[in-house]
This record gives sequence, structure tokens and C-alpha cells, in this order.
Amino acid sequence: MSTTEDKTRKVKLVTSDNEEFEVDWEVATRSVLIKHMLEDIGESEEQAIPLPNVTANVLKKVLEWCEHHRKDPEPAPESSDDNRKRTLEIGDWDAKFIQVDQEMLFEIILAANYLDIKALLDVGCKTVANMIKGKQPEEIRKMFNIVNDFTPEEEAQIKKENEWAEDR
Amino acid sequence: MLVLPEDIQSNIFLRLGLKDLTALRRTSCYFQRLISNDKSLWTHILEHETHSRGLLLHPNRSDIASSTAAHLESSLRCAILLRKAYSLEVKEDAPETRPRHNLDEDTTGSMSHLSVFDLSTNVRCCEVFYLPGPALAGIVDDTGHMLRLALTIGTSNPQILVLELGTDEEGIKIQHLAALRGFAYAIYFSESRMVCATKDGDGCPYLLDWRTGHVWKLVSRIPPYVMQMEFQAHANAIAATEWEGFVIVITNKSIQLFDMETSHNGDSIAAMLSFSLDLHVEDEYDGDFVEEASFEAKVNRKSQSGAPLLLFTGRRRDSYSFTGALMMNRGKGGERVPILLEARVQTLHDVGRESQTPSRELSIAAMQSVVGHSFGYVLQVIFSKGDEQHPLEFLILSWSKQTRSRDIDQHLSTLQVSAKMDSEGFPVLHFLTSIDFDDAAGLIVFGTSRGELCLVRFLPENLWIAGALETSLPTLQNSAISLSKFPVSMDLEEFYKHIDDIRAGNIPRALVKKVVETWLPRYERGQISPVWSQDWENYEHVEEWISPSSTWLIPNFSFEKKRNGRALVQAYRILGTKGVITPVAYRVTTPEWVKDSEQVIVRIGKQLYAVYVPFDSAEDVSIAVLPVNFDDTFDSRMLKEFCRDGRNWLRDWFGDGGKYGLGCGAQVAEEVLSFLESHSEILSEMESNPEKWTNSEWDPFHFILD
Repeated sequence: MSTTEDKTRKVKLVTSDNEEFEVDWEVATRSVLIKHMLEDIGESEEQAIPLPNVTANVLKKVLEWCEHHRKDPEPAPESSDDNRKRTLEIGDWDAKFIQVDQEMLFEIILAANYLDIKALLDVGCKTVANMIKGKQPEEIRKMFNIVNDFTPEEEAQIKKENEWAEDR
Repeated sequence: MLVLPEDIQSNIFLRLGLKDLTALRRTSCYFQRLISNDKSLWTHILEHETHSRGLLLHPNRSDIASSTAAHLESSLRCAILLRKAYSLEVKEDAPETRPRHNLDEDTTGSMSHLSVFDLSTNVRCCEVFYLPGPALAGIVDDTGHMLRLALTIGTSNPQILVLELGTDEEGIKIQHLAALRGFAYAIYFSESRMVCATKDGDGCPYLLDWRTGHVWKLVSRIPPYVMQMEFQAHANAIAATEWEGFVIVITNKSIQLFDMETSHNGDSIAAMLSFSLDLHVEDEYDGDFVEEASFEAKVNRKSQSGAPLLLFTGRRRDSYSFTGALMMNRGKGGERVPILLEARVQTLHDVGRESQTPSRELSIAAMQSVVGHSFGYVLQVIFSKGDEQHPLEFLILSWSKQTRSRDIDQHLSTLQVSAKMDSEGFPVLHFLTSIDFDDAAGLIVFGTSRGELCLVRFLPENLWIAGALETSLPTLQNSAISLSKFPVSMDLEEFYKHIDDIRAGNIPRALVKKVVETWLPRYERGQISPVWSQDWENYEHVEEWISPSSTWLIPNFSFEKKRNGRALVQAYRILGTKGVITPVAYRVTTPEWVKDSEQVIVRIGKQLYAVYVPFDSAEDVSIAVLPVNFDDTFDSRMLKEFCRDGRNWLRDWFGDGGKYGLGCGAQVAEEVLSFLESHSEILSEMESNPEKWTNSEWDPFHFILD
């Protein structure tokens, strides 16, 4: 499907709050969802693509990421999944990019998931994982606003049950 | 974070380590449920943790496809805790984690029962089944679905009983799958195949399909020109397994490989290849005889190049332990080329060292030990007699296969057993079927020769995996006849019914008569030389031969104090065989050169041996293998010639240090004798009785021998 003229083609995206973005085809198709939609509607149409699950401020952020990563090679196939998951390292640019408040972080993750942008979803999930890493349960609760709904007895019991995993 | 859908949360979990996940799980009920039930997550963690920590999971419980998340977590927890337990220093202050077990004394001595012990809290007997004889040996096959036992039952007419242990709605059940008459000492046991160390008393290994009853004799490869004792040793099977299309058998002296992929018609299979187990430590006479060995089963090990590896371990007669490995290479045409990668002595486990118990030095002579594999470690269980308060003691040691330093050896546990167990006059701990019997590798199974099977746990509570034997035995699959839950009459040698008399030194004549009747050949074998006799009832030292077998030792037996069974027990020890030793004839008139000893011809299967028993009981018995066959030559000219007064030329020529080894001995001797018959002119110039020849007189016959 992709031809040389794709590079110059523009794509229109409409957010849930009705804001319209016009971006290069190469940038928009970082999203597998958008890429598939474009393929469905064909090349000739100048139709805007609706993205009812994404708000303008989030899409702006997502497109910023897509713009930066427009030249990246196609995401590696599934098989490399394991290696990717074992490391929690994030590139410099991405690390800076993802320095946002928690609400925005989750919005970006949700958008990346919805738009099917694997690499961005990855960055988001790694960031959350890094936030959890090395913390005690109480610290995690605080960080993510999790309500402790265990009874004190249950809590003690669960602590005991999990002791085997604590140290090497 | 709660705003994220579960699949994204799951994606995040996959990036967390074990420690962080358990921390997250402790935050709320929601995460507790989500993380605990995520099977793909635990599959991933299991793979990651086992890989990064080099853990070994229990091979029978590593079926990820059918496991639940909780089960996977449990496997991992168990493997991690086990690793910690193995690498911890022994804690002297943890006696509460050391299980003890006591058997109720059975005063009748005429019953044999199999006891299943409940290990959930204390070792408690929860079920008893009666067997038709004492269990002399046993082996376990845990397929993960089923726990099967192959027990050698009975002393007078041994058979192997194949039993299945499992549960149904009503509780623990044992079922009877097969009875293999004549076979004894299963040393390998799988879904359909079994390798037995003896059949009908013959001490050679047999392979059988235990479901159909098809039998093949496994014929060992014997290196050329071996010493006479070694000759037999290469056929005495100790351990066996199946690997890469081979049946592998460890004998006293070698590893024999029987190729199962090429056709094996008929009733015997010859070894395709054999490796000598040269495990010399010091220049000791019989130290390098292997007395016990085992393979690491059900772990598909690979070398760095991807070639399959088979690890084995064992103990030599002098209590040195060894480890070794076979590797399966591929030839240019893709053919299998097995090589012995290494076989070396590991460490001397001199019991009582680095003294946990300095006041009670354990005597090596009184000690028996069993070596087994467990989770990549080698375990050695040694049991020994101590003082009166602690008549029996187990030391459980482990060492890693990866290291050679003896500092790494871990004394895991010491079990002490009450005096009561040993009081009846029957040996208490006789065999150990398996160390890695259960998921946590902390359960060992001891059998007593009276037919009791004891399951003993030696690792602490938290090392038990969910779904392990203690909590759920496998479910029984078929419903063959159950074993008796009531005492049944026991197949026991006459000997044991008179044990009190025998121990007091009075052997009833009726017993002697009954026993010696079983020694006589079933059909007439012609005249034997007048210097030999089979009139055993009038044999002065018959008490040294009538104890049934060394596998049922008289308790408190000591080579110094007891004369009963001395010759027989020593013969078993020297030959290292599990075949039944049957006395054939004894010498009536003692020739000059052996006047301080008596001579007895015995057989194992068809193989004949001459045994020299010194009158001085402090001296050791010596044995020579006769290069003749019981069926062919027992009464013939051959035996008469061999046994005439004069030099024992057999020993000089075919024995230890002899010139021609043993394999061609019978043939050579026949040739020499027929040569002499047809060349009377030679005899006229020489001493007419070949028995009186010296080596220089034999020398001219080189050409026949060559």
C-alpha cells in the first residue's frame, strides 16, 4: 500500500473534543490503528479520521512523540518481546518526554494502547514499572492512591506469605 | 494506576521483578487477586527467575501448560527456598525442623507391611498395607500423574511387585499392577520398561517390558584381559536408565550402553559400547568397585554446544563418592556417538568429621549410604550405628555438582532414630528408594527389610510445594485388585523362623536340611570327583552358607564376632552381585597347599566360583572365577581337573595377574586337555598330572593359547 507519494501526504485527525490536527502521513501511521483506517478508506479520500477516545491535549503529546520517532524502523516482531520486557531502560528523549504528571502519563498509555503505538505504550509501561520498582507496599499505595482494604490480620498474613520473594 | 485496564496493568507487571510484584500485591485486595491469578505473568516470572538465578524446577512438576498461576508460584517459591536451604550453613539450633520417625514395633516378625506416613504435621502412619513378603529393595517412578513402586518382595521366591500409590475419595490407596516372578532388584523403572539386576538368581541385568512380560538379557561388553574379579563386576548391575535411545547400565566397574534403536531380536541385547569407570584414588585392592550409583533422571540437560548430557553419581566400596557425565555427540552422518565426559571421585565423606557429634564417631564399617540426585545437587544419606542412646543415625549431606571443593558440602540434617526400631533383630533401614521422591526434594523413602516403607521428611515446612505428596497424592487411574489390609502369610526364608536359635549359635538340623535341599541341582548331573561332596548336611561349616542372602543381614553382624554367614556375606561383598549365591559342592579332603582353608564351589546363575574360606576367621575369604559353566561342565572332566590336588593353575593362568584373562579360559583349558590326549608323547616326558605343572611346564602350550 505504501508508496513514495505517501511521504508527502497529509492526514487529518479529529479528537474527541473536536479539535483537528493535520500531520504527515509518516507521523500519523506510527499508530497502527490510524494506518489501518487509512488503508480502509483508500488513498484518494481527503477524509478526517475521528479519534473519539483521545482528547486534544493528549493527542498533541502523542503526536509529539510520533513526530520524533517518525524515522524509526518498524516495530520488531513479537518474538523480541521478552528482551524488551526484561530491561526497564528508556531512551533519553523518551525519558524527558514522559516526565509528565501521573494523570497525563496514564492518558498517554491509554491513548498509545488505543492507537496501537507499541513503542509508546512500552515507554509508558516502563515508566510505571520504574515508579513501582524498589518500593515498599505503603510507598506504592501512596504513589498511586491505592486504598489499603486489607484487615490488619490479612495484611500480616499476606506479608508472611510473600516473605520468600523478598531477598536473594 | 487503577484507571488502566487489566491488560495494560498486566503489561506493566511483566516488567516487574519478583520482589516488586510481591510488594505491589501487598497493597490491596485488587492487586492481590490480579497478580496472584495471572498465569501468563507467573509463567514469565518463572522463566525469568529460573533463568537468572540458575534454579532447577522439579522435573515432574514443570508442566506449565496444565498448571495454575498458584501452582507456578508455588514451584518457584519452592525452588528459591530450596536453593536457600542448600546454601545455608547448617543450623544447629533448628531441631524442630528435623523430623523424626518411629515405627511401631511389630513383635511377631512374621508380617510384612507397607506403611504410608502422614507428613503434614508429625510423621504419622496413616495407612498400612500388607505384603506377601519382606521388601528387599524398591524403586519409584513418579510420572507426575502417578506414583509407582517396584518392590522386590520375598526372600525364598523373590518377585517384583508393581504397585501404584494414589488417592481416591476415601483416602490413600495402593493398587497392585503386576507381579513379576523370578525377577528381583529393579534398578530402573518407567512407564513400560524395567531393568532388573537379577532373574532367577542370575546376577546379570535383564530388561523387561513389565506390562507384557517380554524379557531381554543385557549382555555386557567386557574389556579384553580383565582381572577375574572384574570380569564378573562388569555384569553386576547397580543402576540403569534410558537416555537418547540407549539403556544405560552402571555396573561395579563400568558403564554399559545398550542401543535400543537398532533391532534387538531374540532374547538378549549386547552392549554397543562400554566405558570403564576408572576411579582410582589410592592403590587399594577393591576400592574402585562401585557399590551404589544413580542417574539424574528426567532432567534434559544439555552441554554448551547443545549435546545431551547425562549426569550420574555414586559411591565406591571405600566410601569415596564420585560424579560423572555422558555426552551424546553426533557423527558426520548424524549417528549417535556417546562419550564419557568425565567420571571422577568427588570428595571423601568420612562420616563424623568436622564433628557435629565429636563424642560419637561413626564407624565406617557399620555404615551404609545412598547417593541420589535432587534439583541439581547430589545428596548423600548415610546411616550408621551410633551409641546406645542413638543406635541409628542418618546424616544427610549435599554438594553441588558444579563445585569440587569439599567446603561446599552441606550437612543438611541429622536424623536420630529410637533404639526401639532396631530391637527386634531385623535390620531396620535397608534401602532407600529415592531421595528426590517428592516435589520439595525433602522427602526420602526408606524401606526396611521387613517390608516397611518409611517416608521421612528432612526439610522445613515452607519448602513444601503446593500439591506435593504431603497435600495431594496423585489420583489413581485404574482399579486393579487392592492389596490386603489384613496380615497375610509371608514368603520368608525358613532361616528367619529360627533366628533366635541361630543367633544363640544353635542351628537346627531341620533347618539345615530344608535349606540345603534347595541347593541341589534339579536334575542329575553325573558323578563328581570323590574329593568333592554335596552332602551338605554333614558339612562342618554349613552355618557359614545357610543365611539366605547378604541383602538380609543378621543384625549387629560383625565380621569379627559372628561366624554365621561369614563366608556367604564376604562372597557377596567381594562379588558385589545381587544374584543369588548357591553353594554347589565342598571339598572333602583338603590339599596341602590350601590346608589352612576350606574350599567351596558356588554358583550365581550358571557362573561357577571357587571360594577359599580361611579357618582363621580374621582372614578374608578369597574367590576365583571358574571359566566353566554350571550346566555344561559341573560334573565333567574339567571340574575334576581343576580341582585335583596340587597347584591351582587356574589362578596362575586365568586368575588375578594371570596371563590369559578369563573370557577364553574354558575354551583354552579344553583345548589344552584335548591336545594332551592326542599327543601322549608330550605327556610321557612330563609330569602326567597337569595340576602339578609349574608355569615352565605350561609354557610350551603358548602356541595353543595363541
